Amino acid sequence: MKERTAVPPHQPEVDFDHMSPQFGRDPAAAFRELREGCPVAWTPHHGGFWVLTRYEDIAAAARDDATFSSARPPGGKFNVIAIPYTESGRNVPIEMDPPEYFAFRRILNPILSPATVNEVVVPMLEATTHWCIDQIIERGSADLVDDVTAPVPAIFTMGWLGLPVDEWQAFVVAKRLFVLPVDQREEALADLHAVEWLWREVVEARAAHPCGDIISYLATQEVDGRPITTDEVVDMVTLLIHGGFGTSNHLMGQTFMYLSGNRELRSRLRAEPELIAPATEEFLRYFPPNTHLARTVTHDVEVGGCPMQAGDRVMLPWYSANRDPDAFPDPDEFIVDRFPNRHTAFGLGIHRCVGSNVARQLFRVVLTTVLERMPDYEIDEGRAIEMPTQGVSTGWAKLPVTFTPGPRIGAPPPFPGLAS
Amino acid sequence: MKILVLSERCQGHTVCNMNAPELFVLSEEDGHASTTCEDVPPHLEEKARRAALACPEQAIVVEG
Repeated sequence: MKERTAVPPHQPEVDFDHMSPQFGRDPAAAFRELREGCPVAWTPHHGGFWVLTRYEDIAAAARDDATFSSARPPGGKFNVIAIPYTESGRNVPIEMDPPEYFAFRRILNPILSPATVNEVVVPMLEATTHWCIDQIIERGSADLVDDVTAPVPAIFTMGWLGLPVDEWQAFVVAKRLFVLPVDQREEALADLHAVEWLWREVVEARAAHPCGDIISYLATQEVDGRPITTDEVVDMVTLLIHGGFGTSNHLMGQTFMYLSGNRELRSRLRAEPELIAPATEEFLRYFPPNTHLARTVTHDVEVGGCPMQAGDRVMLPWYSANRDPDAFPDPDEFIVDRFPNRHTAFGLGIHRCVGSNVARQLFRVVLTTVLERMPDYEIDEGRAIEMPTQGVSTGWAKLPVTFTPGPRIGAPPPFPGLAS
Repeated sequence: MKILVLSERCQGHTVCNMNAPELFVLSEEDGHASTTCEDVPPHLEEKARRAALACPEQAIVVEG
């Protein structure tokens, strides 16, 4: 019997592991080294995947959904849009390709459009932020992650969806799964299953008795002319929770840490409010809260001289695109009013982050409120703790902070279920 | 000067509207951009150029 033709090797191969401590110490350096030496490469870690590093290659792949698929295979247990695979409910519609993708994206667009966000969401963000800061402002010390950057997006997202906001800590704890090393995930996976069960119960309740919240809106939609199913609503809530919690939390933690060591920039942001918008874009470029998303190759294709085969996994690291000197002069410099700033923090192509309008407003509200109510905050950098890995999202687990105590403004709870 | 949004390329990043709200409006449905006028008034030409440069999808064409 003849030997089967050997599969062409995945070359060039590099030893790149974004979940390693070495990567975590300096993600920018890790991507720079690859980009300069081997801009398209195969790494054997996490089942093997291609890693692209140039802005141009990443943008082209992100816009070519026919070649670089986002779809989870039917019945698949694992999240396919990031590396490594993580067991979780399906994120709809990001884990879909056209045309199915558009049938679900269409449902989310109007509740997350710029106009709706300004009218409906911003007041919720302001109320949530002031309430959270009221809980700590008289103390003069807090943890910026536990008390501000984690609860604001969690409480807002859950309140907006119609989930019980008093459970917000359980949701934040469960979401640590995605940033744990792969061999330490068992307990966190059980925690995630527990909260996934909770939002399924709410979806079923709202499908039977809709009220005015977002889950009720989702549960009463049609897809291609037939009623949406309970499973599909659960999967859309999955996306909104996974997209809404960690990303903003991590971006804000990075930003507050950066500003802790840069008093001059902090003063400028207070004195020149018109700087907030360009600064937001530069913080997004510098600290993209999703370091990457992933795709699966649908047919043999060549990228940068490298032959990719159907079924190969490909990492699109937004972090690396954002540090490509061909796209951003002095890419490792933080330039507060950088222009142009075509960063990829929200992705590119049809999967552009559906929550980007919320993310920008959330960031603005929290940043300006902290600078206004805790202007002299100082992070105890020696006691700050990084997240256990930095490969899926870069950021901080703990940011102990002190500041001059201030008065509560008596902000009422933003949603029912929180103590006043 | 003329401006045009390539609708098949626009993904609703909203950056054009941030840079030139006079020239680009956003759909209430999905945030995708369209132009308020085809011919750019001379005093807004610089803003039109900036909006085109800033677009992450490079979906804005400026002519003239």
